[in-house]
Amino acid sequence: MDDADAFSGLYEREGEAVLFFLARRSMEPEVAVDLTAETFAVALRSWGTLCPLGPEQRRAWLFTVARRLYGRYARRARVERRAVERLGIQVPPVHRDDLALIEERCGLGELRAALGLELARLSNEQREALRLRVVEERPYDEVARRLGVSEQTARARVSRGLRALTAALEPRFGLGEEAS
Amino acid sequence: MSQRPRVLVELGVELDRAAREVLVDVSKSGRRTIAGRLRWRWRAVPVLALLVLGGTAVAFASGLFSFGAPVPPTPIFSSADVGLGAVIPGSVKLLPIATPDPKGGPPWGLRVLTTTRGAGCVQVGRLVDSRLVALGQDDAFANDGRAHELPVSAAVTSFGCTPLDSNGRFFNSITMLGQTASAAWWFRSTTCVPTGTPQSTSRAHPACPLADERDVYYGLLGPDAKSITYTLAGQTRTQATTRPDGAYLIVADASAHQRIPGAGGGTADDVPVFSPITSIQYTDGATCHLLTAHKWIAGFHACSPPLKEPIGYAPAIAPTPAQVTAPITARVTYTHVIRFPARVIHTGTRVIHIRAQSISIPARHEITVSFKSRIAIRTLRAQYQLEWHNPREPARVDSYTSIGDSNGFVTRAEADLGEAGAGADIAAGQTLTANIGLLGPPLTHGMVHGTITLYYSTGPSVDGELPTKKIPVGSFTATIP
Repeated sequence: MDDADAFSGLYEREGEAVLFFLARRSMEPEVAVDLTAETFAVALRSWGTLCPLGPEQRRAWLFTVARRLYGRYARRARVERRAVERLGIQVPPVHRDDLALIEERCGLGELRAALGLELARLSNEQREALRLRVVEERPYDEVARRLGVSEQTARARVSRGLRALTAALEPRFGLGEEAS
Repeated sequence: MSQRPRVLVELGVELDRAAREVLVDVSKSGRRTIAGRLRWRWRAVPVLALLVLGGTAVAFASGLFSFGAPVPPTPIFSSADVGLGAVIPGSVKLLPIATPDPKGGPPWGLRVLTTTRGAGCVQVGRLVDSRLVALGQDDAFANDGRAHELPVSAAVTSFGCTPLDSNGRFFNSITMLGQTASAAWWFRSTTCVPTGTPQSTSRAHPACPLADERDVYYGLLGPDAKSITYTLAGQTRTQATTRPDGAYLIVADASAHQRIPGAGGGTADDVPVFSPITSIQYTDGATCHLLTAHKWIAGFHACSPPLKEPIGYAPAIAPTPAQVTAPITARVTYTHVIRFPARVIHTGTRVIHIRAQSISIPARHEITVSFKSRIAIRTLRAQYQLEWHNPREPARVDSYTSIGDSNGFVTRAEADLGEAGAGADIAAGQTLTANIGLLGPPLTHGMVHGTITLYYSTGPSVDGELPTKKIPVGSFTATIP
């Protein structure tokens, strides 16, 4: 088996798990696909490091990258695409059927319901900041303007709200990779 | 068997194609080569104007361009010990290079700087009155026709900064395709979308007029790079680099439908890629023939014959195991409170301060791992990582936890520092603490094993397949009742 076969085999084994892991984290199938593509593009660029590892170590390595990429996405509200761009990888569009399938396989409906409950437990300030930023996808400067706070404060409220939700949901829904 | 999303299959095909282009088969080459930093897809670029390249700076009469308000600074260099660090006073240098724009107007120039955390950054812009500026054109600055000075923090791309080598130099070659001639790329002041920018799916902006777009190739090739040879519009030219950094800057008209495959128009590497540069000549007579005819390019591997590292690059020196080995303590507790330390997040353009907070969760076991860093870390290159696994289980996603990663969930430094670690300096003797188990997979009954390792990049950049030394700090065990 040559390197390319080995890499493709890794994707065959772990691609779905990585995608579902990221879908549960982001609850956005399109974002999860973009992050999955970047995760494997990083893996391809780092094949020299990854190749000698055993299957479990490779898996751990992959999910580490996936978590970091998701973390950056959560902080910056944009998907990092450096490795994808450098490798010239065309990320395919997410088909409508895929959206439903990923939603179902990842239990995103149930997760969203639980999220609704947890949202109700947040402070009014955090909840409104999340609604404006996450639901209505308004830019931070507009969130800040609507809330009557500085942009820095708006970002902090969104960030704290997201972290609070993650902390509440993760133990119950097993958002780790083993749940995929 | 569960149905697989079609997008996964299609992405797999694309990844497989990329893998076959960038991974050189061991059986064919006799050695493993990672070729995958970039692949070359040269498409003939019809260039509308020949470039006149020279080392003589063009003093642009200030009377032709009045100055508008400077571009607002960003806090990217606001903290000396976090992120990229702060700009070292006196390190900002406008290079003696001025490249004409194909359509006229102020020439293009380069500026370099170094930071307190060992980064070197190169910036590009238009030159007016020996100042690096963006122009009020191409929809930027309401087309006010003025020059807007670029503060050092406002002209930094994600590609523009790399670690300094042992001699305090940095190597970085950047390609920007289809960007507006205003040079106002970095702060999204334009309302049109350059062709080299990924088209936003949520906002419909018109494409910028092609006549307003440029392809800009620039960078630093090191002190030993004497000249470059490039081919544009069928004409081959050799141009001296600017000493002592080996700097070059080429500006050409953009052409329609010209994209770096996959997305946007920007990329960077240790030697020029996705550029018309075909070779680099060095002072010792060596020549790097860039493998532009090949379908892949891999940083300094793109040179033929392949290079271990860019010529003139002095690898960073990593600490030895004896210097970093330290006792590690692991303490098991049972808690239902997650405490998030106060911290500062650097997004590249903003600094966000987050206060400490506590969150209640269902009670779980937690391991608090701590050790004293024996060495000071004041560089982008180094990062402590923690690996652990539950009893009878292999390593898993949570087994790799960057101590001090700006993700911040499970990492914190004591001494009320708020933040420490990979994204920030660590003092010699500073206690670093990481917590395992409250977030992510729960700890299970039995003996948990873990290690801490210092990852230290010695290559020209901190990512990718470039050399990284893994220096063991120590190991720990903890028993979960």
